[in-house]
Amino acid sequence: MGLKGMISIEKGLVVVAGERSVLIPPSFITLLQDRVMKEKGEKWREIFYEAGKKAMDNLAPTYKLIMLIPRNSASKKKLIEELVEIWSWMSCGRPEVTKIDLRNNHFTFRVYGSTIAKPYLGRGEMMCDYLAGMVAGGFGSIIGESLKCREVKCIANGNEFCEFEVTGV
Amino acid sequence: MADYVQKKRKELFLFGEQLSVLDVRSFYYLKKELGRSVRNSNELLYDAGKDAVQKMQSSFVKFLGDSARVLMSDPENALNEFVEVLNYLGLGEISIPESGLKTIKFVVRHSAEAQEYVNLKERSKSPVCYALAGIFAGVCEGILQNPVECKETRCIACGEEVCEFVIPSGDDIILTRGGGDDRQGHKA
Repeated sequence: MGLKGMISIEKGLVVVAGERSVLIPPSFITLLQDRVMKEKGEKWREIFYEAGKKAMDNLAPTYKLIMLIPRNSASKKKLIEELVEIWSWMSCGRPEVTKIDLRNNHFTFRVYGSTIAKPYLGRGEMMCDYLAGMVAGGFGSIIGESLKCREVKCIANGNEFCEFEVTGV
Repeated sequence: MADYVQKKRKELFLFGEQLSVLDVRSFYYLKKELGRSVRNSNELLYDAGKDAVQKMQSSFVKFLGDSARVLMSDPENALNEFVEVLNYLGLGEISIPESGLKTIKFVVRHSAEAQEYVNLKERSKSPVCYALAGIFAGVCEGILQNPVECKETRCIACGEEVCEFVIPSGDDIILTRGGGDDRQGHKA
Protein backbone atom coordinates (compact mmCIF):
# COMPACT_ATOMS: atom_id res chain seq x y z
CA MET A 1 0.00 0.00 0.00
CA GLY A 2 1.41 3.35 -0.93
CA LEU A 3 0.67 5.72 1.89
CA LYS A 4 3.79 7.81 1.58
CA GLY A 5 5.03 10.43 3.99
CA MET A 6 2.92 8.85 6.69
CA ILE A 7 4.97 10.25 9.53
CA SER A 8 6.74 13.56 9.82
CA ILE A 9 8.69 14.63 12.89
CA GLU A 10 9.88 18.21 13.11
CA LYS A 11 10.74 20.43 16.01
CA GLY A 12 7.48 21.10 17.82
CA LEU A 13 5.32 19.18 15.40
CA VAL A 14 4.63 15.52 14.71
CA VAL A 15 2.17 14.62 11.97
CA VAL A 16 1.02 11.07 11.34
CA ALA A 17 -1.35 10.30 8.49
CA GLY A 18 -2.11 13.99 8.14
CA GLU A 19 -3.11 14.33 11.79
CA ARG A 20 -1.17 16.28 14.35
CA SER A 21 0.03 13.80 16.95
CA VAL A 22 2.14 13.39 20.06
CA LEU A 23 4.63 10.64 20.76
CA ILE A 24 4.09 9.12 24.18
CA PRO A 25 5.54 6.20 26.07
CA PRO A 26 2.86 3.48 26.28
CA SER A 27 3.14 3.77 30.07
CA PHE A 28 1.21 7.05 29.81
CA ILE A 29 -1.93 5.13 28.83
CA THR A 30 -1.12 2.31 31.27
CA LEU A 31 -0.96 4.68 34.22
CA LEU A 32 -4.26 6.29 33.22
CA GLN A 33 -5.88 2.85 32.89
CA ASP A 34 -4.53 1.64 36.22
CA ARG A 35 -5.74 4.70 38.08
CA VAL A 36 -9.18 4.58 36.47
CA MET A 37 -9.41 0.84 37.29
CA LYS A 38 -8.64 1.64 40.90
CA GLU A 39 -11.38 4.24 41.10
CA LYS A 40 -14.04 2.78 38.85
CA GLY A 41 -13.40 -0.98 38.85
CA GLU A 42 -14.63 -2.76 35.71
CA LYS A 43 -16.23 0.45 34.44
CA TRP A 44 -12.75 1.46 33.27
CA ARG A 45 -13.38 -0.70 30.21
CA GLU A 46 -16.38 1.32 29.11
CA ILE A 47 -14.55 4.61 29.69
CA PHE A 48 -11.56 3.68 27.53
CA TYR A 49 -13.73 1.95 24.91
CA GLU A 50 -15.81 5.12 24.54
CA ALA A 51 -12.71 7.32 24.37
CA GLY A 52 -11.24 5.17 21.57
CA LYS A 53 -14.55 5.02 19.74
CA LYS A 54 -15.24 8.75 19.90
CA ALA A 55 -11.72 9.47 18.68
CA MET A 56 -12.15 7.25 15.63
CA ASP A 57 -15.74 8.38 14.97
CA ASN A 58 -14.14 11.76 14.38
CA LEU A 59 -10.87 10.74 12.82
CA ALA A 60 -11.76 8.04 10.33
CA PRO A 61 -13.65 10.42 8.04
CA THR A 62 -10.54 12.64 7.93
CA TYR A 63 -8.32 9.67 7.23
CA LYS A 64 -10.56 8.76 4.32
CA LEU A 65 -9.58 12.03 2.69
CA ILE A 66 -5.89 11.20 2.69
CA MET A 67 -6.18 7.61 1.58
CA LEU A 68 -4.74 7.22 -1.85
CA ILE A 69 -7.47 5.19 -3.47
CA PRO A 70 -9.41 7.29 -6.00
CA ARG A 71 -12.72 8.08 -4.36
CA ASN A 72 -14.88 6.73 -7.16
CA SER A 73 -13.25 3.32 -7.02
CA ALA A 74 -12.83 3.10 -3.27
CA SER A 75 -14.47 -0.03 -1.99
CA LYS A 76 -15.25 -0.24 1.71
CA LYS A 77 -12.96 -3.24 1.94
CA LYS A 78 -10.07 -1.23 0.52
CA LEU A 79 -10.80 1.66 2.85
CA ILE A 80 -10.74 -0.64 5.87
CA GLU A 81 -7.41 -2.05 4.72
CA GLU A 82 -6.06 1.48 4.31
CA LEU A 83 -7.27 2.43 7.78
CA VAL A 84 -5.46 -0.57 9.23
CA GLU A 85 -2.36 0.51 7.29
CA ILE A 86 -2.63 3.95 8.94
CA TRP A 87 -2.93 2.30 12.36
CA SER A 88 0.22 0.32 11.64
CA TRP A 89 2.06 3.66 11.87
CA MET A 90 0.77 4.35 15.38
CA SER A 91 3.57 2.25 16.87
CA CYS A 92 1.05 0.45 19.11
CA GLY A 93 1.71 -3.01 17.72
CA ARG A 94 1.28 -4.59 14.30
CA PRO A 95 -2.37 -4.54 13.22
CA GLU A 96 -3.93 -6.89 10.69
CA VAL A 97 -7.47 -7.33 9.50
CA THR A 98 -8.12 -11.04 8.97
CA LYS A 99 -11.79 -11.09 8.03
CA ILE A 100 -13.92 -8.58 6.19
CA ASP A 101 -17.52 -9.70 5.67
CA LEU A 102 -19.37 -6.61 4.54
CA ARG A 103 -22.60 -8.47 3.86
CA ASN A 104 -22.97 -9.49 7.50
CA ASN A 105 -20.96 -6.64 9.02
CA HIS A 106 -18.54 -9.07 10.57
CA PHE A 107 -14.84 -8.32 10.85
CA THR A 108 -11.90 -9.86 12.64
CA PHE A 109 -8.95 -7.72 13.54
CA ARG A 110 -5.65 -8.61 15.19
CA VAL A 111 -2.82 -6.72 16.82
CA TYR A 112 0.53 -8.39 17.34
CA GLY A 113 2.52 -6.96 20.26
CA SER A 114 -0.12 -4.49 21.50
CA THR A 115 1.71 -1.85 23.52
CA ILE A 116 -1.45 -1.37 25.58
CA ALA A 117 -1.51 -5.04 26.65
CA LYS A 118 2.24 -5.59 27.01
CA PRO A 119 2.54 -4.10 30.52
CA TYR A 120 -0.17 -6.53 31.67
CA LEU A 121 1.38 -9.80 30.46
CA GLY A 122 0.30 -12.65 32.72
CA ARG A 123 -2.69 -10.76 34.11
CA GLY A 124 -5.16 -13.22 32.62
CA GLU A 125 -7.66 -10.74 31.19
CA MET A 126 -8.39 -8.78 28.02
CA MET A 127 -6.86 -5.34 28.37
CA CYS A 128 -7.20 -3.56 25.01
CA ASP A 129 -10.59 -1.89 25.46
CA TYR A 130 -9.24 1.37 24.11
CA LEU A 131 -8.19 -0.40 20.90
CA ALA A 132 -11.56 -2.18 20.73
CA GLY A 133 -13.29 1.22 20.83
CA MET A 134 -10.99 2.53 18.10
CA VAL A 135 -11.81 -0.42 15.87
CA ALA A 136 -15.57 -0.07 16.41
CA GLY A 137 -15.42 3.65 15.65
CA GLY A 138 -12.99 3.38 12.73
CA PHE A 139 -14.67 0.53 10.86
CA GLY A 140 -18.12 1.89 11.68
CA SER A 141 -17.25 5.30 10.21
CA ILE A 142 -16.04 3.67 7.01
CA ILE A 143 -19.01 1.42 6.43
CA GLY A 144 -21.44 4.06 7.69
CA GLU A 145 -23.04 1.85 10.34
CA SER A 146 -22.85 1.51 14.07
CA LEU A 147 -20.58 -1.37 15.09
CA LYS A 148 -19.50 -2.95 18.33
CA CYS A 149 -16.14 -4.56 18.97
CA ARG A 150 -15.14 -7.13 21.54
CA GLU A 151 -11.64 -8.30 22.34
CA VAL A 152 -11.62 -12.10 22.30
CA LYS A 153 -7.89 -12.79 22.61
CA CYS A 154 -5.22 -10.76 24.32
CA ILE A 155 -1.53 -11.19 24.99
CA ALA A 156 -2.31 -10.13 28.57
CA ASN A 157 -4.53 -13.22 28.69
CA GLY A 158 -1.78 -15.52 27.49
CA ASN A 159 -2.73 -15.47 23.80
CA GLU A 160 -0.22 -15.05 21.01
CA PHE A 161 -1.87 -11.87 19.74
CA CYS A 162 -4.82 -9.64 20.53
CA GLU A 163 -7.90 -10.38 18.46
CA PHE A 164 -11.09 -8.40 18.09
CA GLU A 165 -14.49 -9.43 16.78
CA VAL A 166 -16.47 -6.62 15.18
CA THR A 167 -20.19 -6.98 14.50
CA GLY A 168 -23.22 -4.81 13.87
CA VAL A 169 -25.00 -3.31 16.87
CA MET B 1 13.45 13.04 11.54
CA ALA B 2 15.15 14.25 14.67
CA ASP B 3 17.96 12.03 15.88
CA TYR B 4 16.35 11.59 19.25
CA VAL B 5 13.44 9.62 17.86
CA GLN B 6 14.57 6.44 16.14
CA LYS B 7 12.39 4.62 13.66
CA LYS B 8 12.67 0.87 13.21
CA ARG B 9 10.29 -0.24 10.49
CA LYS B 10 7.07 1.36 11.67
CA GLU B 11 7.97 1.51 15.34
CA LEU B 12 9.34 4.56 17.09
CA PHE B 13 11.84 4.57 19.92
CA LEU B 14 13.32 7.10 22.27
CA PHE B 15 16.41 6.11 24.23
CA GLY B 16 15.70 2.48 23.39
CA GLU B 17 12.10 2.56 24.68
CA GLN B 18 9.11 2.30 22.40
CA LEU B 19 6.91 5.32 21.80
CA SER B 20 3.30 5.23 20.64
CA VAL B 21 1.49 7.77 18.53
CA LEU B 22 -1.55 9.52 19.96
CA ASP B 23 -3.14 12.05 17.64
CA VAL B 24 -4.28 15.26 19.27
CA ARG B 25 -7.95 14.57 18.60
CA SER B 26 -7.77 11.19 20.31
CA PHE B 27 -5.96 12.89 23.18
CA TYR B 28 -8.77 15.42 23.41
CA TYR B 29 -11.49 12.74 23.48
CA LEU B 30 -9.56 10.70 26.01
CA LYS B 31 -9.33 13.75 28.26
CA LYS B 32 -13.01 14.51 27.80
CA GLU B 33 -14.04 10.94 28.61
CA LEU B 34 -11.85 10.92 31.71
CA GLY B 35 -13.19 14.32 32.75
CA ARG B 36 -16.74 13.03 32.43
CA SER B 37 -16.20 9.78 34.28
CA VAL B 38 -13.41 10.12 36.80
CA ARG B 39 -12.87 12.27 39.87
CA ASN B 40 -9.75 14.45 39.67
CA SER B 41 -9.04 13.58 36.06
CA ASN B 42 -6.80 16.66 35.85
CA GLU B 43 -4.61 15.31 38.60
CA LEU B 44 -4.59 11.94 36.90
CA LEU B 45 -3.34 13.43 33.63
CA TYR B 46 -0.74 15.46 35.52
CA ASP B 47 0.53 12.32 37.26
CA ALA B 48 0.56 10.32 34.02
CA GLY B 49 2.62 13.04 32.31
CA LYS B 50 5.02 13.21 35.21
CA ASP B 51 5.42 9.46 35.44
CA ALA B 52 5.94 9.11 31.67
CA VAL B 53 8.69 11.71 31.54
CA GLN B 54 10.42 10.30 34.60
CA LYS B 55 10.52 6.88 32.96
CA MET B 56 11.95 8.61 29.89
CA GLN B 57 14.67 10.16 32.04
CA SER B 58 15.57 6.77 33.49
CA SER B 59 15.85 5.28 29.99
CA PHE B 60 17.96 8.28 29.00
CA VAL B 61 20.44 7.57 31.80
CA LYS B 62 20.43 3.83 31.07
CA PHE B 63 20.80 4.39 27.33
CA LEU B 64 23.57 6.98 27.39
CA GLY B 65 25.40 5.77 30.50
CA ASP B 66 28.19 8.02 31.73
CA SER B 67 27.54 10.88 29.33
CA ALA B 68 23.97 11.09 30.65
CA ARG B 69 25.24 11.17 34.22
CA VAL B 70 27.61 14.01 33.35
CA LEU B 71 24.78 15.92 31.72
CA MET B 72 22.44 15.35 34.66
CA SER B 73 25.05 16.78 37.01
CA ASP B 74 24.73 20.10 35.19
CA PRO B 75 21.08 21.03 35.82
CA GLU B 76 20.83 23.94 33.42
CA ASN B 77 22.25 21.97 30.52
CA ALA B 78 20.20 18.94 31.45
CA LEU B 79 17.03 21.04 31.45
CA ASN B 80 17.82 22.52 28.05
CA GLU B 81 18.65 19.10 26.64
CA PHE B 82 15.39 17.58 27.88
CA VAL B 83 13.38 20.45 26.50
CA GLU B 84 15.09 19.82 23.16
CA VAL B 85 14.06 16.16 23.35
CA LEU B 86 10.47 17.08 24.29
CA ASN B 87 10.38 19.38 21.29
CA TYR B 88 10.53 16.32 19.04
CA LEU B 89 7.62 14.54 20.67
CA GLY B 90 5.02 16.78 19.07
CA LEU B 91 3.90 18.43 22.30
CA GLY B 92 4.34 21.91 20.83
CA GLU B 93 7.23 24.34 20.50
CA ILE B 94 8.68 24.44 23.97
CA SER B 95 11.08 27.09 25.22
CA ILE B 96 12.39 28.27 28.57
CA PRO B 97 12.35 32.05 28.58
CA GLU B 98 13.26 32.23 32.22
CA SER B 99 15.09 29.98 34.57
CA GLY B 100 17.31 30.61 37.49
CA LEU B 101 17.21 31.20 41.15
CA LYS B 102 13.55 31.86 41.67
CA THR B 103 11.41 30.26 38.99
CA ILE B 104 11.51 28.05 35.98
CA LYS B 105 9.11 29.09 33.28
CA PHE B 106 8.19 27.07 30.20
CA VAL B 107 6.40 28.55 27.22
CA VAL B 108 4.66 26.27 24.74
CA ARG B 109 3.47 27.48 21.37
CA HIS B 110 0.72 25.40 19.76
CA SER B 111 0.31 23.04 22.69
CA ALA B 112 -0.83 19.66 21.39
CA GLU B 113 -2.88 19.16 24.52
CA ALA B 114 -4.88 22.35 24.03
CA GLN B 115 -4.91 22.48 20.22
CA GLU B 116 -8.22 20.70 19.75
CA TYR B 117 -9.97 23.20 22.03
CA VAL B 118 -8.79 25.91 19.65
CA ASN B 119 -9.76 23.88 16.57
CA LEU B 120 -13.24 23.32 17.97
CA LYS B 121 -13.45 26.94 19.20
CA GLU B 122 -14.13 25.62 22.68
CA ARG B 123 -13.07 28.30 25.14
CA SER B 124 -12.02 26.97 28.52
CA LYS B 125 -12.27 29.01 31.71
CA SER B 126 -9.07 27.51 33.06
CA PRO B 127 -5.90 26.06 31.54
CA VAL B 128 -6.22 22.51 30.21
CA CYS B 129 -2.66 21.23 29.69
CA TYR B 130 -2.49 19.01 32.75
CA ALA B 131 -0.31 16.30 31.23
CA LEU B 132 2.16 18.91 29.98
CA ALA B 133 2.35 20.48 33.44
CA GLY B 134 3.07 17.02 34.83
CA ILE B 135 5.74 16.48 32.19
CA PHE B 136 7.51 19.72 33.13
CA ALA B 137 7.25 18.92 36.83
CA GLY B 138 8.70 15.47 36.14
CA VAL B 139 11.59 16.86 34.10
CA CYS B 140 12.53 19.38 36.79
CA GLU B 141 12.05 16.92 39.61
CA GLY B 142 14.35 14.42 37.89
CA ILE B 143 17.03 17.04 37.35
CA LEU B 144 16.78 18.83 40.68
CA GLN B 145 16.22 15.62 42.64
CA ASN B 146 13.62 17.42 44.67
CA PRO B 147 9.82 17.40 44.53
CA VAL B 148 8.41 20.29 42.50
CA GLU B 149 4.96 21.27 41.35
CA CYS B 150 4.22 22.91 38.03
CA LYS B 151 1.25 25.15 37.34
CA GLU B 152 -0.07 26.27 33.97
CA THR B 153 -0.68 30.01 34.16
CA ARG B 154 -1.71 30.77 30.57
CA CYS B 155 -3.32 28.50 28.00
CA ILE B 156 -4.37 28.80 24.37
CA ALA B 157 -7.59 27.00 25.32
CA CYS B 158 -8.45 30.12 27.36
CA GLY B 159 -7.72 32.40 24.43
CA GLU B 160 -4.10 33.18 25.28
CA GLU B 161 -1.45 33.26 22.56
CA VAL B 162 0.74 30.67 24.21
CA CYS B 163 0.63 28.26 27.08
CA GLU B 164 2.85 29.14 30.00
CA PHE B 165 3.94 26.94 32.87
CA VAL B 166 5.63 27.96 36.06
CA ILE B 167 7.47 26.03 38.68
CA PRO B 168 6.39 28.50 41.34
CA SER B 169 8.84 30.54 43.31
CA GLY B 170 9.28 30.03 46.98
CA ASP B 171 12.43 28.30 47.92
CA ASP B 172 15.26 29.04 45.56
CA ILE B 173 15.83 26.78 42.59
CA ILE B 174 19.47 26.87 41.73
CA LEU B 175 20.14 25.76 38.20
CA THR B 176 23.87 26.06 38.27
CA ARG B 177 26.59 23.49 38.10
CA GLY B 178 27.26 21.89 41.43
CA GLY B 179 24.08 23.26 43.03
CA GLY B 180 24.36 20.14 45.18
CA ASP B 181 22.96 20.43 48.65
CA ASP B 182 21.88 24.00 48.08
CA ARG B 183 19.37 22.98 45.45
CA GLN B 184 15.81 23.09 46.63
CA GLY B 185 12.55 22.39 44.92
CA HIS B 186 9.06 23.59 45.51
CA LYS B 187 5.78 22.35 46.69
CA ALA B 188 2.70 24.17 45.51
